[in-house]
Amino acid sequence: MIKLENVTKTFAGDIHAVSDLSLEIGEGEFVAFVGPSGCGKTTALRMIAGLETVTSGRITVANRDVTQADPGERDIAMVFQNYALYPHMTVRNNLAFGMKINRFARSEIAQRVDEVAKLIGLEEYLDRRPSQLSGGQRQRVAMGRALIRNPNAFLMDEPLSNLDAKLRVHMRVEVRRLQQEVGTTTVYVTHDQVEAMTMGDRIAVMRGGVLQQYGRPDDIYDRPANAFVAGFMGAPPMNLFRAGLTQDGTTPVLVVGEQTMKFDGRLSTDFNIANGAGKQVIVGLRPEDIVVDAAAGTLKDLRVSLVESLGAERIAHVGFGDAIKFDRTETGSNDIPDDMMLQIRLSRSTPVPELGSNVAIQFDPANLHLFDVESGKSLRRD
Amino acid sequence: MADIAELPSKRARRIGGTIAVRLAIIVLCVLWITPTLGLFVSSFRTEFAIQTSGWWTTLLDPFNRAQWTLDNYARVITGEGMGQAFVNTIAVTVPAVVFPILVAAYAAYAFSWIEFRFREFFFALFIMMIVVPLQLAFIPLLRAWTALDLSNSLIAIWITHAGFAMPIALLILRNFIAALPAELIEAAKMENANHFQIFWRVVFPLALPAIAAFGVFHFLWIWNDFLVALVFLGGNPDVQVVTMNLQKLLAARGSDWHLLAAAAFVTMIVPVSVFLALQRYFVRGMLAGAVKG
Repeated sequence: MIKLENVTKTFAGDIHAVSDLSLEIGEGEFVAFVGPSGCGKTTALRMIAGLETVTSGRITVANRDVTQADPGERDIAMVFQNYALYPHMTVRNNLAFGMKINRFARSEIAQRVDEVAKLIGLEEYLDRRPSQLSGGQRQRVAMGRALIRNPNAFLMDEPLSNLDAKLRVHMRVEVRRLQQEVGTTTVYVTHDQVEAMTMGDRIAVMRGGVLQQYGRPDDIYDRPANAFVAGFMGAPPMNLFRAGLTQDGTTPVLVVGEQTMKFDGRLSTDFNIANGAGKQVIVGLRPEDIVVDAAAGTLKDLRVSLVESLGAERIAHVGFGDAIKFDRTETGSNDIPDDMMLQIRLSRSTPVPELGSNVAIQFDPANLHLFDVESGKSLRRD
Repeated sequence: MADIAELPSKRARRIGGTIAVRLAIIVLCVLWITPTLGLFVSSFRTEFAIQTSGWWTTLLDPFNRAQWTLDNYARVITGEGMGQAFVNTIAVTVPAVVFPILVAAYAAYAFSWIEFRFREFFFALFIMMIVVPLQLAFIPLLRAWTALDLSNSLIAIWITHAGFAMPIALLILRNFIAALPAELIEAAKMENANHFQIFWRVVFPLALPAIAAFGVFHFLWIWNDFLVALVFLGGNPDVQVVTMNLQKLLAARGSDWHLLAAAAFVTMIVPVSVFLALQRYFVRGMLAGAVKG
């Protein structure tokens, strides 16, 4: 439906907002572009919209090359972050604006406005102005304005970020419901990985203008392509720390401080670490994949420094303490946080570890992630 | 909190300041209103009454109908040509206000929302014209109008006024239009609206406050203008404006205060009512040039 081929956007000669972005979005698919601010996701969206010129590459919408086309010629509707409702027009006129511009028959416009108003549940508000609506209602009008034209695709630029947390969760469901009802291909830009995870059929994780990973939410969560994606997706994020790699006979072994982890030789079957002996790797562990054990475990002598209660669960912050020393002068990927603190998700039924106490942790080696220390790329075998 | 903690001396100073400000305002009001009121009262008095007593004496006995008359207005408007001048002034002012606003608003839109080469350069060039004194352009413009056989015509003065107003109109309107949210224009673009549609359906309605502000400002300026009218319409008695008529009256009937007062009031009535009705736009219009947005 939408196809980006080697799309690049350069500002002021040498600032690469988007570099060599290639991806394909299927008919009716809901794709979330996610990444930290400045990652190029909005620029990518605006290039699909035609609001930003493409420096090089090709954009195809519905099998038509639109790389050079004006925004209006692309038959794409956009929902803006601040809604961009025309303040001097009523809801009705806001909805009808596009159809009026494109000279639809008056009766057809009226009929579509009524249909859409029903769909977004704002029949009663058609004669109000945007200033007389709540944030959620404005958001719905913005959605309605996109829906009314039956366009090839919807583009949404952080449409929920101006709403309060509770309403955002509600509108998240609403937007997805509307999109599924009309089945229109959608590109959704967000910096909120939860939004991306919950709404997207597929997620494109971006950073510094470069696509990091493109895939289904579960795949991205379970098999992050690199340490950045691993650390970005999930809240709390995946724990990342350095470990050494040595050889115990023919079995590769992970070394964290003085402690070694063997995993019964699974390391060599799961990961591409054949020539890795003597090198360092980044270890990744999801907070929910770690079990705290007071006595025996894979890693010992960790100190509990904080336990946060979130109601449904608890987050234990566990430090490596003095027992494990890291060489901070090491170069390589800068995706590893400075404080060597693990966050561990504990269910309510788990006993709360005592503050300051020493604990050990355990985890299933199937949930272990290893990343290359230089490139940050996942070492997992496909 | 600040009120409780305030020191007595500070408090006294604050009250003193307030009183000083109010006093200044009162003095200014009295200074401005007294002659205006005098003029207004005098314009309804008979010639004899004006020559024998001060206008304030009527205020002591306002219901004595013998001292009031409408004859002054009747004479000025019909006999002295003030009525025709009034119509002429409207004929000069309205197009001379609408025309530059329209052109400047289009230009402001283009300078804000259409990308083209040397945009900033051309904008600066236009705005620079603000520093050119209009007197400098009189001779060349007069020669141009004569060459085009348009001297002393309404068209000539419309274009002249429009031209003089253009740089400041462009500056004010561009500051406002450029500050409109980009998303509104982009949203309209996504809906396949062309520049004209975006301008008329989105930008123009939203820029109305700035347009009204400048309109009021410029309207008053043109209505009260004497110099430009004298230079460009002076040769044709049929197209005299009120200020010119007033000046002629002053020269010919300098001692007939009753007529001058009435003529002055005919001249003032439109600007005063426009100002009173639209003063909030007026203030905003003066600010718009200085404060962005």
